[in-house]
Parts: sequence; C-alpha cells; structure tokens
Amino acid sequence: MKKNYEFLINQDGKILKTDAPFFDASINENVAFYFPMFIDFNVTLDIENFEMDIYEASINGEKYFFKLKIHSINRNAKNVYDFVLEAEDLTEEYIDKQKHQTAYNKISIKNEYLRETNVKLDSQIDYLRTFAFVLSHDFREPLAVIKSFHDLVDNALSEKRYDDITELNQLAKKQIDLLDQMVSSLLKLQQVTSEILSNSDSQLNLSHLLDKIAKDIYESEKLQLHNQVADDLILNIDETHFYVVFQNIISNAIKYRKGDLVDVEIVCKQKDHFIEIVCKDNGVGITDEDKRKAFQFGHKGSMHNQDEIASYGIGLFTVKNIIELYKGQIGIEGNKDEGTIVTIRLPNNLIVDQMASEIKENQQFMDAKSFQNILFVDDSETTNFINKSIFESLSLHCQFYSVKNGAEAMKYLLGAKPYNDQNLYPIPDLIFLDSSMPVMDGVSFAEAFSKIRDRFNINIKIAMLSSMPMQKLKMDTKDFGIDHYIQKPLSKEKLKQFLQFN
Amino acid sequence: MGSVGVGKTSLVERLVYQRFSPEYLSSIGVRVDKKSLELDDCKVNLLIWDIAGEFMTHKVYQKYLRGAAAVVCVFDVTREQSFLAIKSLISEISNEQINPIIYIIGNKIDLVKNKAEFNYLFLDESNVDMLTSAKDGEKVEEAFQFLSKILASNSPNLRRV
Ligand SMILES: Nc1nc2c(ncn2[C@@H]2O[C@H](COP(=O)(O)OP(=O)(O)OP(=O)(O)O)[C@@H](O)[C@H]2O)c(=O)[nH]1
Ligand SMILES: [Mg+2]
Repeated sequence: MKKNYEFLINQDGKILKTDAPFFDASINENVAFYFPMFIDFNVTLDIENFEMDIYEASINGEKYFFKLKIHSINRNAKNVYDFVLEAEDLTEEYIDKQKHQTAYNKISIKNEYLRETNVKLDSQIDYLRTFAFVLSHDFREPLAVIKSFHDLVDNALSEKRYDDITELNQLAKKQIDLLDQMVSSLLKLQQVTSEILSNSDSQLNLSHLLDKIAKDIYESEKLQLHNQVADDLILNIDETHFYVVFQNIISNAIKYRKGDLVDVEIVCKQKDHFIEIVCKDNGVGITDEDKRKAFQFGHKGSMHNQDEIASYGIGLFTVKNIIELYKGQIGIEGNKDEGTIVTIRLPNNLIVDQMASEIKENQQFMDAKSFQNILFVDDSETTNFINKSIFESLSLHCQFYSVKNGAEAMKYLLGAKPYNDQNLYPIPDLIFLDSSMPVMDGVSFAEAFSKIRDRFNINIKIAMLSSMPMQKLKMDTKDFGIDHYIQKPLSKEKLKQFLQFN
Repeated sequence: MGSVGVGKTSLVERLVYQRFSPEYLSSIGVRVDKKSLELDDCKVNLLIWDIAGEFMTHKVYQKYLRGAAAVVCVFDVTREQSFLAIKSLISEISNEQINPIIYIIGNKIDLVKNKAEFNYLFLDESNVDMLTSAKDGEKVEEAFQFLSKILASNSPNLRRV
C-alpha cells in the first residue's frame, strides 16, 4: 500500500491531480477541503517553503498524520506556477506514538502537582524547625532578665532600698508583659494554623473593622489611618482572623515608622477575579532581604526602632497563614526610606451579596428558634454566663441550664437527684459541652452519653467547645456523635455559624 | 499554544464542534481547524492552529509563529507551572522579530469555581484575557469573539459586510 501521496495544485488551490485515495473530486476539488490551512491558497504567504513535520488531519472522519512539503513547478513560459504538495503518511507510526506521548504527558502533569505539594511540605518542615529554635531563644531572653531582676530585688530587700524595688518591679513587669504577648500571639497562630475553614458564614464590614483596630491600637495617637475601603463592602471572613491581619500590618507601620506621625492608607479594589487590599505606610520602608523573608516564621525586620517593644517574628507569619487559609495571597513591597506596601488578594467569592444574605439571615434565625432548652456543661461559671449572653445577644429565646462537669450532666439527663424535677430541669435539645473539666471531662461524657442517646425521644444535639487544637479532639471523639465543634472562646459569629449548620 | 494538557485541543473542539471529551489524548503535531465568527459589523474567519504542548519544550513551535496574526496562550488555572510556561513563551515571542497579538486564556475554570480548593490567584489578572471552561463551554465562544474583535480592528485590509 502506497503511503506517500502527491497533489498537483494550481494557483487557486484546485487539485489537478493526485494519487491520494481519499480525494474525491465530486465532493470537493479544493486542497483546503482536505487541508484547511490552505484556505486562501493563492494568498498564503511563503507557500514554496511550506513544510510541516507532523500534521494531524481529519479527512472524511478518519484521522491521519502527515508530513507535508510543497514545491512549485513552472507550468509555462508566462511564469505561471503549479504546486506539488507531498504528503508522507505517518499515521500508523504516530497513532502509537500518540498513545505513548499521552501516557508520558499524564505522568508529567501528575509530577507537576506532586512537586507543588512537596514544596508546601518542605516549608512546613522548615517552619517547625525554626519554630522550636525561635521559641527557645525568644522565651529564654525575657526569662533571664526576670531572673536577674529577681536577684536584684533580693539584694535591694536585704539592703532596704525599697524605691529600687518598685522600679525593678516595673521593669520586670515589662518583660512579663512581653512574654504574655508572645504567648497570645502563639495562641493566635495555633488557632489559625489548626483551624479548618468551614463554610463560614460570618460577615464582616471591612471598613468598620479597620476603624475599630485603629482605635484599639496601642499608641493610636501616633496613627493616621486613611481608610478608603468602601463602607458597604461586606466580606465572608472571620472577624478575629482579619483583626489579627490588619492589627499586625498597622502595628508594623508604627514599629517601622520614620517620623513621629504614622500614615497608613488602606485601599480596596475589586478586580475581575479577586479583591485587592493595599496597605501603604510612610515608614522607613523595607530592605530587599526583609522583603524576601518578611513572612517567614521568626524573621525580625532589620530596621525597626530599637526603643520599641521587641518584635518576635510571629506577626506576619500568622498573617500569611490567615490569608492562605482564605486561598488568598499576600506580598510586601517598598524601598528603603519610601514606605512599605502590603498587598493582599482574596478570592472575590468572599464578597457577600447583601440582598441574598439578609434573606438567609432571617431564615437562619427562624430555624434557630427550634432550640428550646440549652444545657451548658462547663466548670467555669463565667464561661457559662458569657455563653448564655452570647445566645441572648442574638435574641434567641431559649431556656438555659448549666452544670459544672460531665458527671453532673449525666445526672441531669438521667433525672437523678437533685435534677429529678422535669419541670425545673427539662431534657435539653442542645448541649454545649466543654472538653476539659474536673471529675468527668467532655470526652468521657460524650462517650457515656453516646451509649444512652437513643433513650431520649427528642434529638439532643451536642456542640463541643475546646481551647485545645481541634484535630486531636475530633479524633478522640469521632465515634461519639458530636454534632459540632467550636474553638473556644465562643463568639457571636461562631454561634451564628453553628446555628446555620444545625 | 500552551503546556501539555491545558486544554488547547478541547477549546478548539468546543469552539468548532461544540463538544467535549473528558478523555485526554495528547496532540503530537499540529492540527488546523476553521471557525467563522460574526461580529457586529464584520465576519472573521479564523484558521486555528492547535500546536502540541509537547512542542513547548523543544522550541519547535517557533516556525509556526511566523505568519500568525495572534497567538492564543492557554494555561490551566490549577497548574501554576503552566502559567509560568506561557509567561516565558511570551517573552520569547517578543524577542523574535514578529509581533502577533498575544491573547491569554486561563482554562478549566470549572475546577476552581466556587471551590476554595485551588489557589488560582497566582495569575496576574492584568494579563489574563479570559477565563474559560472547555468542559462547560463557559466563555469559550466569547474568548474567540473578543480576540476576533481585536484582530478585526487591527486588520489593515478589513472587508466590512
Ligand atoms: N475540567 C476540565 N477539564 C478540561 C477542560 N479542558 C480540557 N480538559 C481536560 O484536560 C485534558 C487535556 O485536554 P486537551 O485539550 O487534550 O489538552 P491540550 O492542551 O490539547 O494538550 P496537548 O495536546 O498535550 O498539548 C483532557 O482530559 C480534557 O478533558 C476544562 O475546561 N475543564
Ligand atoms: Mg492537544
């Protein structure tokens, strides 16, 4: 079977002669019908040098692979040319090649995804390593200082220099405050890195949040915030998360200020595919080295004012973690002495459609009315009280009952004394359960309760609260039918979210 | 043009034949298809050369750039590498002595829509002309309509209809 075909083509693209079996003059005589790239044969540039190594053709529903080449022949003395198109049929060989190529490509695409995952893992490992290092170092310093103060206080005491003691005490307190701050930032970090972002329904007015932060901020008298964020922009983001984000960014502007007055401008633009929030300050700017490392755990900027509270390299790392939790991106730019610009991009599906959400919100509270009796199980009276107030702040008209550990809760549910009066202690339809309590903790209670749950003729939901990392708790209680987990402390937003899911 | 598996062939299949196959069969050469698009005041006949993504690695593609009125650079919105690949492709094109219209398409948007699973923000918005899904057909026709408009307005021998 012949595998090389020749087409004799005139200036207009008409096939004058060919040995190709698929050619059918009664259907179409033009070369473009078989090879669409010759659609304007007479205007196709450079036709004489036309060459194609592998051309995939589909002719009369059949697939072919050709190697194509064109040369011209002079037809007569008037310089009229005809063209010869040579088509080498490589179909058989290339059908196989195509299969192999496909398999190969699939693997290289998989590899691409794997490499990405690897990079992420590497950075996690790096982070853990640095974490241990930075922590031991950062904690040791203030501790050492406190220790030496302690000795000095001892001395002063024995020498009855009481004025010195007061002063030493104040200095020690500064160090303790520092430690305290470090612990809180670590806790925040732990929260955002361990929290799996649920389909959160918390809605936040970004502009209002920024104003609030500006007011709260330590040294706010030095700050001028130009808040350019639209007043009606509502985002589907958690308040605590973004409080941390902007508080860090604004505090950095203060920490790395140039003069006495700190100017921070925050602009928010809605692009086609994302929201862009740009925070610009008038501070000392940022070195290239700092730009590269700004978001690394434990990195401390090189240019901050020495008299400021020491930085401990957790802030921007936490910020980046939060932004990435929302599938966003963060970057830092700026030059030395020209201020710093932090740019945050968030997917624009976080923008809340106001109309739709109002309807949903009403719906949500209608539904919430179905909870009538709520039992709080927590050893802290204060927590029970606060949780109750949070419920009430959403104007949910439920009855609240509380007991102080799992064993008491068990008694309550089983109607044992002193809970034997059903009118005073009705069976709850919702239990808010703390994970750690004396006597019988939340996990043991959940286990015990799971065994007697079907004795009750109403569906009792359990929401478990904990200040510990959630993953472990979820593992420990995975068989006990917990309906919802909430990271402590409870907030209005978290409660709203809970009510929406239940 | 664009890396292997980003959906070049699928985009053409969707545009020209209104069909989609989830099965991947990589192109190993060049395929050519035609498509006519009606614009407000003119008709544009596109001759679309679908070039194997495999060619990207061997620079074989360069000869196909000559004579091209536009280069449609396609990347997969779930693969950052494929975006980087077209970025370097574009810088190579601008090094050549040709200057076709560069049109950038981010494909497979169906995979990231409403899902927070993928981070597709690596793309620099200002550069991307259209986000499409060959699977759902979303924005495919629009992408080529839009490109045709640019071509028509740039074309010196425009025949108005
Ligand atoms: N989900 C989804 N899958 C798509 C889309 N477009 C293409 N695919 C799939 O992606 C795979 C690759 O598509 P192709 O069109 O063959 O990719 P290509 O860019 O032509 O690849 P090469 O020819 O190897 O360069 C196929 O399995 C398609 O079904 C899309 O918009 N969404
Ligand atoms: Mg292909």
